[in-house]
Amino acid sequence: MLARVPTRRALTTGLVAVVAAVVLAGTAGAQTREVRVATAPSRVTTELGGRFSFRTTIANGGATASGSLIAHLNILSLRDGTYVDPEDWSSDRTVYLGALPAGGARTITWNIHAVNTGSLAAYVTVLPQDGDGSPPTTGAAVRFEVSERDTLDAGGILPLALGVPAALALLAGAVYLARRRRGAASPPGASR
Amino acid sequence: MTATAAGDPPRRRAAGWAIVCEREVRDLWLGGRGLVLSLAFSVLLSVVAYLVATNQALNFLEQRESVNLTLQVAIAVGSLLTLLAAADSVSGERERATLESLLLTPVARLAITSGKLLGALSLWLAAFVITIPYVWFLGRGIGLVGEAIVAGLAIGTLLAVFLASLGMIISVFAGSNRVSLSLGLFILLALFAPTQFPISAQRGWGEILLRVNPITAGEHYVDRIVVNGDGWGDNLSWLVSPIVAAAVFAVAAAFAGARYVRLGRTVH
Repeated sequence: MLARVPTRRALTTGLVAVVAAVVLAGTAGAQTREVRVATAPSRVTTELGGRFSFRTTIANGGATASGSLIAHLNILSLRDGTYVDPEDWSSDRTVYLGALPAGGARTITWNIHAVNTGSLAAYVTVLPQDGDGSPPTTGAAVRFEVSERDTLDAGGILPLALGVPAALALLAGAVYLARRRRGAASPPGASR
Repeated sequence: MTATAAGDPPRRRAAGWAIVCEREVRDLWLGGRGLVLSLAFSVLLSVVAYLVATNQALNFLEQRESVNLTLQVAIAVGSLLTLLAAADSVSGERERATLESLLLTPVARLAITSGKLLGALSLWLAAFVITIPYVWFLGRGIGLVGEAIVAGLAIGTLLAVFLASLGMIISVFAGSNRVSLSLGLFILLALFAPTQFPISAQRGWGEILLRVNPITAGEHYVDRIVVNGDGWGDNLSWLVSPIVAAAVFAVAAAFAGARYVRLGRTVH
């Protein structure tokens, strides 16, 4: 079977489609390139279990409105050997921003719970929601210094942890002995 | 029964449910079963409190979170004890061949069921009294002890009434004690399963499921008061399901007891 020869109209349509795709991709890429991500403060010092927050401002410096944007928070340890699960640090790490008008900005407050000690860093990445392949924009990292802290005074827990079961064991033993004594004192065949 | 002397003032006879309740409480506590269960409960709470207070890996917990963890364990296990006691109440008597003599007494079946239900709830009250020193130890110094105790007592009692009633209903219809206890335990585990949902699954339909389930809704309410320091009226919508479940299942248990308690059942 012979292949069909493409007509001039089909060729034109294909060419237009390719050009349109390239232009659209270029426009979207330009849009995300115009997005700026600023974070404050740049450094946080806290102790284990501490709760704090930092702000990220996403601004559209372009002359046109941006497409819909997504901001995502990531957290990692700056030292090898510390396991970090970002979900433990912040339960809401993805924010759907929608479109930003030309010159517009939006500020997000990220609430963080320090669950590891050490030197850690967080950064926010903004990427277009339509996933057009353009590179995401990443803000400067915020550094966390988390120091050790004993939140509870363990002194006195041992007497309590042993004392309550011991008291109940003594009570159970006393009830058991009382029952045995009562059983021994009752005449045979007597019912309760 | 003793005769009243001619000169004595006439004594008011105790209500049937009170007599049954007293007998149940006596059997449970003087028989030793209640004390052994309470001892096991206190050992569990001791281990939890000791780990929370001393383990370095767990020590990142805020003081509020450690109180909450201990309280949640106390509510969960205290409710479990109540469920087990209630699930044994009718099917156990049937299996031990003591149900016949109980049914022959001049006490209404509704009174028998109510008395047994209250007797089972005495286990929750004991479990809660045991919990108080642990909550005091972990929460002292941050003004949290009073709130935690009141929240634990209120929500724990609602959940205990719900689970005891559920256990009673199962016990009325179960053909053997083994079926009753294992079914009760299975349902309890199923009700607790959503507490292990990841955070992402606790939104949308997941949140509806958490709100409908009395256990998860009650624990969420306690969590908000103890950990987040919310006011008592801030999350009242989460209390709907525990209150409705306690009321509906208590009425259903009373009805099932009054209407369906028989010497022999056929569900095996």
